Amino acid sequence: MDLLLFGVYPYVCLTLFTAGLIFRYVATPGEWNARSSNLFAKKSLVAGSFLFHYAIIFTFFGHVVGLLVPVALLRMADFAGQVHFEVATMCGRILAPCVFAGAGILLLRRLCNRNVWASTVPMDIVVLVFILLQACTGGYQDFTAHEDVLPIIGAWARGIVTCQPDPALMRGVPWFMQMHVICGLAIFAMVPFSRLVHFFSLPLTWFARPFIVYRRRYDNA
Amino acid sequence: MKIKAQMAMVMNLDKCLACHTCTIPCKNAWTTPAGSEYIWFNNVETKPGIGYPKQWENQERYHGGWTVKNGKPELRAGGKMKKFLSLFAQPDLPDIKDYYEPWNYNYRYLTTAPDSKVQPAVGPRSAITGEPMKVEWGPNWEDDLAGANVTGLEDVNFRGMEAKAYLQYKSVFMFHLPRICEHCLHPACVASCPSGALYKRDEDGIVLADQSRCRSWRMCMTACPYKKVYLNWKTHRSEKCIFCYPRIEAGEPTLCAQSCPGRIRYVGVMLYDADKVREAAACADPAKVYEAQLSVFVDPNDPEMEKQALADGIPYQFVDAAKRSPIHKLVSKWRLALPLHPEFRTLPMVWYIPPLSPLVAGGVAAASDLDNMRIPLRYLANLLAAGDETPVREALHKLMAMRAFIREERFAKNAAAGQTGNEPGTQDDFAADPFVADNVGQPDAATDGLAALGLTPADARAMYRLLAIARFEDRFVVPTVRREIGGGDLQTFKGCAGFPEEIS
Ligand code: HEM
Ligand code: SF4
Ligand code: SF4
Repeated sequence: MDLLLFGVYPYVCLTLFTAGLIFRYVATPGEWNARSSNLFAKKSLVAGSFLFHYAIIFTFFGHVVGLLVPVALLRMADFAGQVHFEVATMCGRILAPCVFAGAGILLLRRLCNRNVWASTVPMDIVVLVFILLQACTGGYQDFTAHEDVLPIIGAWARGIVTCQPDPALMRGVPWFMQMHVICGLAIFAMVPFSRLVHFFSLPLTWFARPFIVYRRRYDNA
Repeated sequence: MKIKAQMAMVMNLDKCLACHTCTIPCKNAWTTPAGSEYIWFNNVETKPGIGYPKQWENQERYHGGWTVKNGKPELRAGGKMKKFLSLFAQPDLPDIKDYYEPWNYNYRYLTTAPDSKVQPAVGPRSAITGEPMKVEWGPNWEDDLAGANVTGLEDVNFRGMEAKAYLQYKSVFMFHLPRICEHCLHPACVASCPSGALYKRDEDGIVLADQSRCRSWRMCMTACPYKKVYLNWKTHRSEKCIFCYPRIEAGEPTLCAQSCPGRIRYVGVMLYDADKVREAAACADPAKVYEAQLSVFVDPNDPEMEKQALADGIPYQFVDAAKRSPIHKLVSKWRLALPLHPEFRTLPMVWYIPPLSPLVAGGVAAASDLDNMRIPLRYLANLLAAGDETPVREALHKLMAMRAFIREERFAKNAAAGQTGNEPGTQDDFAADPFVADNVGQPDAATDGLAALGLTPADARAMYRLLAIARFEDRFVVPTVRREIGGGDLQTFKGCAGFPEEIS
């Protein structure tokens, strides 16, 4: 079971993630977008979207630091062990409720505003539900667990990305953190098949280009 | 100096009858698919009024267009950094209620309803949700001033005026304002699109939204001060007026222009110096932007400029069309047409000839009595010249002087032909070119009136011909595109420039 969930399943998700992205980009480039619903319900979007996005982006970077940066490097920066645990927990205590509230508002407006609902596809809901689940399980760890399981999960995650998976590591991890990992991987798998592709289009080139764009006729490049 | 060509339009507000014939072929051709029901590339508004979307002209509310900061044009909604950090939600975006919730009727029920004692009736149903709904606003809600006694109070063109007084029955006025995307020289929509999906075509300046690059950041909608970019709520991508480019490339005018029974629309080429655009848009004084924009255009009849244009790669067809362009005459030569809200600083390229109107009681029936026109000059100035009455006054003066001259000339000619002075010309008169009667004595007073405005009798006749007779071949001077340039068949390229591929 462990082998399946923490040895095979991660690779299935990551494969879906990369292959899916490539497939999606080639097959339906015109549908690669954030699917804005700003037009239909502005106030709730301003409230929910800002809260959610700022929180999720910080959370994202937190996870990158915590999971993927080798411990030795963190040690060099005096950022390991107890310090790491406390900073992570503290950030989580702030960010998890923000993500939860933000995504909650976004989900509510999707369900309650009849126009937003009419322009919703099932995947929009699935994504938000998984994000809410993530916020719950992650937050549960931050608020209740005193045991530092983060180094274990970190070690496991680095094993996965370096192709030396060690599913046994996850055995001792509490159930809600196991769920957190499983849901998180599911979200990765969902990215190519939902509006989540939008964060790969972060428009940084805007800063480098002049305001007015001229393009020659039939210049597809 | 870098000369570029621009397709442009002039609309003669004097003659728009608000028949909406322009809107119908446009709607049918471009915006019928699901998700685009609320989108009208062409719409006709009644002024005074707040239009579609509500109060689109009010940039205090929508923050569209440009301002000037440190001598440079800057998007009114904020710099790139500010906009970037607020990608997640746009508080300035109009709500669907500001446009209107599109609706439909189940017409089939009228013919399939079972027998009953009462007539079958159908109520409006939302085109978005399919549920019954209450109709509260529409793309032409204020048709012929409907409700304008209330909404008119929010019309920003009453700036500096007593709006209330003009919305009273006895002094009320109205005219119509057909609107399409302005295909601006300095488009705020293009500037604000973070993914570079919106662009200006290098060859003819038509502004297009690339459907395969749109990422639904919907910045363009907020940035366009004319509110002429729309987000399709089903595909979640931006759509906008494409100036009927497939027709333009084939040398045909746009659908709205061709179908207009009032013959108020003119389509032609303008040449301009692309290097001067930014400078003009950076003009700090709103009332001077109009002049600044005029200075961007180059005179195609100047041999130097012609040489430069050809050297800059403008095809000969375009240079030739620019020389014969009705737009050049109306905008630069005679200055009869003015830009819509030049103070937005997008340097719009759909220009408007201000409407004349009857004199209100107490006015003297003299050509110079513009201040007693039913449509207040001030209102037109707020609409077409950032509040500066001078260009509006001049344009209207010229129109009056042209009329006086033509009338005099016709009378003189009729008199010479032995008719009484005030008989209208016969049918034959109109069919033949009315201006061959060179032997007729010149109407002196009217000629002087023209000269005072810097016009010659030849100008007046040409103006008359273009504005009143308005023949098809005079209104539309559209160069065809040589197929070998860039090559390719239109169907293939639909997807890259304007339409979602699945439509083609
Ligand atoms: C990297 C920078 C990001 C930008 C610029 C961005 C931008 C946007 C925009 C413009 C929307 C559409 C809002 C609307 O008008 O309806 C949106 C929606 C959304 N974004 Fe992001 N996003 C980013 C990152 C993320 C991340 C990291 C996630 C989470 C995994 C995320 C999840 C979502 C979700 C779930 C929605 C849908 C909200 C709804 O249901 O209405 N985004 N984002
Ligand atoms: S078709 Fe011409 S006259 Fe009729 S509303 Fe449109 S612009 Fe005005
Ligand atoms: S009027 Fe047209 S070109 Fe100008 S800013 Fe708006 S959408 Fe862009």
